[in-house]
Amino acid sequence: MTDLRGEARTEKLARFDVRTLREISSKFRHKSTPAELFHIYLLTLMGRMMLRRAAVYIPTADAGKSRLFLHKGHAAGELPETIELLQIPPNRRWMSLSDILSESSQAEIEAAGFSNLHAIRWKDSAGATRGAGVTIQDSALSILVITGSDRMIEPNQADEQFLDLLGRQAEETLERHMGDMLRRLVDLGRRSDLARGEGRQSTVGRRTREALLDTRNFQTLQDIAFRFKSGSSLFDLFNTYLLTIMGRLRLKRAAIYAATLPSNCFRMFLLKGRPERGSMPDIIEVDEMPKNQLWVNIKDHRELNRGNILGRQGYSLAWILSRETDTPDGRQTRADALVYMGRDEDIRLEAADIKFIEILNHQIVGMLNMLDSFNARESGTLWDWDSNLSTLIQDTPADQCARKEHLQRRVLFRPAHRVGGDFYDFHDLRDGRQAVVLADVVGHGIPAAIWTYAIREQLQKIATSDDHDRASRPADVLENLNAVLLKNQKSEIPVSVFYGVFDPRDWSFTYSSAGIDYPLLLRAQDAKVFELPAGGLFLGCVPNIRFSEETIYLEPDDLLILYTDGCESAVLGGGWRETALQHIRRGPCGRPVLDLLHELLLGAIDARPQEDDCTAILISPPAEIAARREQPEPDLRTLTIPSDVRHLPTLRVFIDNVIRRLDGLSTEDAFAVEFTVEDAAVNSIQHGYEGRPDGSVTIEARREPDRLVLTITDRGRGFRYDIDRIPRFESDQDLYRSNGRGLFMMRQFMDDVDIQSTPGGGTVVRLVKRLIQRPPQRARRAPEETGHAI
Amino acid sequence: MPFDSRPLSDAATVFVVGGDVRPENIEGYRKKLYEYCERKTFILHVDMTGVEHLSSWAIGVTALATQKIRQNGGDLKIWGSGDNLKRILKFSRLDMIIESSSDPAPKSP
Repeated sequence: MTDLRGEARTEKLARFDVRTLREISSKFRHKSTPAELFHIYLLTLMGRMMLRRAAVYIPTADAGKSRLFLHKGHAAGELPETIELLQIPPNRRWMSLSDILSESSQAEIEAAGFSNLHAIRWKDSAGATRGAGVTIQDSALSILVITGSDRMIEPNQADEQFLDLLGRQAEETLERHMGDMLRRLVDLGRRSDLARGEGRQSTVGRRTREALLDTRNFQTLQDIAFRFKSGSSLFDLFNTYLLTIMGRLRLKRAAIYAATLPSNCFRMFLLKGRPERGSMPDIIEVDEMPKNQLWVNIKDHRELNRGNILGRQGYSLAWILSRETDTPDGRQTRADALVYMGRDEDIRLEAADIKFIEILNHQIVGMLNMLDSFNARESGTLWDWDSNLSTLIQDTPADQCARKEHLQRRVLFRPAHRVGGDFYDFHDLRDGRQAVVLADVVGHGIPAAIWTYAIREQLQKIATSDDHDRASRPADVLENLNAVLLKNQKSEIPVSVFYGVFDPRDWSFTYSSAGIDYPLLLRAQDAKVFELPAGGLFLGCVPNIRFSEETIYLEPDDLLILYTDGCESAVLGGGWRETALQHIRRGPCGRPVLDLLHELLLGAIDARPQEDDCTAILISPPAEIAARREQPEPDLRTLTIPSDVRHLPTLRVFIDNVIRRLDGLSTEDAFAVEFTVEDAAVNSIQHGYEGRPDGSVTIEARREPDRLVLTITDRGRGFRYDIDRIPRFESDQDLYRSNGRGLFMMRQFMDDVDIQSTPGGGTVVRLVKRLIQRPPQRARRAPEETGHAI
Repeated sequence: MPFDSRPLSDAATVFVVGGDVRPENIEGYRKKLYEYCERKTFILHVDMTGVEHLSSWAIGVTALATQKIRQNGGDLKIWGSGDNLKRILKFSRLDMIIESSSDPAPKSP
């Protein structure tokens, strides 16, 4: 009977465990630091096993020791900072302290009220299993969980199983998300080989020192690392850095001088706290950098403190923030910045302080290296970098008005943060053509900013290259940019980019879009709004993606609006479009329409709460230069799509645009055009290219006075076209055919069909639909319902 | 829901197309349609309510399905055809072999 009750209890507990473990698994996944992970781990374990206390010890530089990382509950005494290990925990099973610990450590741990332990094994990114090995060397990297209670802990089989599964979940989380972070913490302990009296730079293989960092420092440093990553400029980074150092060392003042050119000059970068007297110098010249030093007392190193100018201002210590770089003369240490620190009395650094600052410096150097890797400019200084980041702000002023000879433009730019993920650019190409770029990088802060910078650089490179034709082919530009982004291993951030080229010779605007949805075209003559076909895939995520490319021909006072998703609701909703159409319909009334619309849009954007970066570009060719057009083509539109049925939605929007602009096309005829053009394009994809997506299909729509002419061209395999061989679908045999209806229906739906095709030479299908003659329309008329149209 | 079905009896079902049949979804249409074609003496009521576009590819599939189902002693009828669909059926001459109606498809008993 007792056994049965026991079994039932075990089963109930097992069911409960499954639920708990499932919940914990989800909680683990959302943790971003080892401290958060072990916090949950310890609490779960304590709750399940009804323990009073638990602690985590992580490996140290010394293979036979582990260091306290985190503890929970009420310890009966003080836990030792480090413990000595005798042997390796072979698995996650519950063990007694004497199985693992030296006698002295066992006594200390027992005195604190702990009685058992188990290990979490951890496989780092290099793939080696850390801990749970068979030699004591490996134990340096196993994580020990020590537990205790006021009663005797006697785990049963279910407890062991629970422990095993919980441990596995923690191990998986470490491997997937934070193994590197934990290893870095362990490595930092190893490399922190500092003399007490003076900060000599660490060298590999030197003696390891006793671990000095305490749990609080670890957690502070982790927090700071995350704050570094979310900063938006180097000033933000160093602001956090200085405030952290000042708080940790209880400093009254601190200053950073950043390296500039010439290399012995350091310029004031950031100042915190008040100097003792007067002001600090703008430039510090250092005749000779102290060799192999991390930090110095400036009284002893006058080369860092000419004329004791800094000593008089109450500074006493200097920390040299340096990085190793490869030069033609070998690997050398380069000083990025000098950090001066002071308080009213002498600063006496404890070894733990030194280690803390060294780790902090390591983190900030890591950020600088990351910036360098994007910039690929090894010789850059902090000043270069901050000016690059600042460029993102300064080059994209809040609102910009500009007027090129052939194109007026207005830009609204509202970043949600100091450095946003949106950006725009205008590049002058050959023959007066102008490229317009609008992009939206997902995210904010430094990661988005450096990605933004890299993309701008790449686009700038393309626009200014000798291959001018390439810069004028938007689909090629985007495909090229996507390949470049994907080559970069750090590419994890999706990017939306719109790239368009305006040609003043014929007022054509050719564009492609990767993720920037439906730019708007307001046609002045028709007083209609058209959503242009766009919205290809994001860049930077999928290889070998291709883009459709459209050419439209602008007309006097037409307005093209490009916008990022941050201002989509303002542009598309709230009646802005209708008001804009009214202004366009009225025409100039003392003020340029573009200025009025710019103000209107500005009002609509500012009236909404801003959650995302918000950028809109308004482009309009001024009416007064219309006569200067060399080859006006107002009634032509061209779309080129890749030979892939996934691009058919773009074609549908295009055809919809074409039809809605036409007067004199009945509903039935409009349907006939939609059906036939899509069918012809599908024929090109299915038969011309035999389903291969590497070809292109071009659809040209031209309005002539009495008809609409559509031409569908592919460079596929072609065929021997013989009109007499097209089935007539009169006999029973033909009527049940599964193929051959495409060409037959084209002739049914359209007024004229002409097909030019030769085997191996591609196919050109020319479709004609006659238009019903209507009285000429007025130049400007009342606004109509908004829709897709030319 | 596109390409749904509603059985009427063991020998008849309503196949609800639910939307346009274009190259992007032609495979689903073909697969579902051909499933019914294999059955003997089966009546397939194709509910085309709301269908505005049936590509020539889809028309070919429908013609072949009609032939198969009739070979097995059954039939295929189109219901709920709107103006555009009627035009497609007419211009493809599918109306010569398939009975179509703008009335709604039969309901389950």
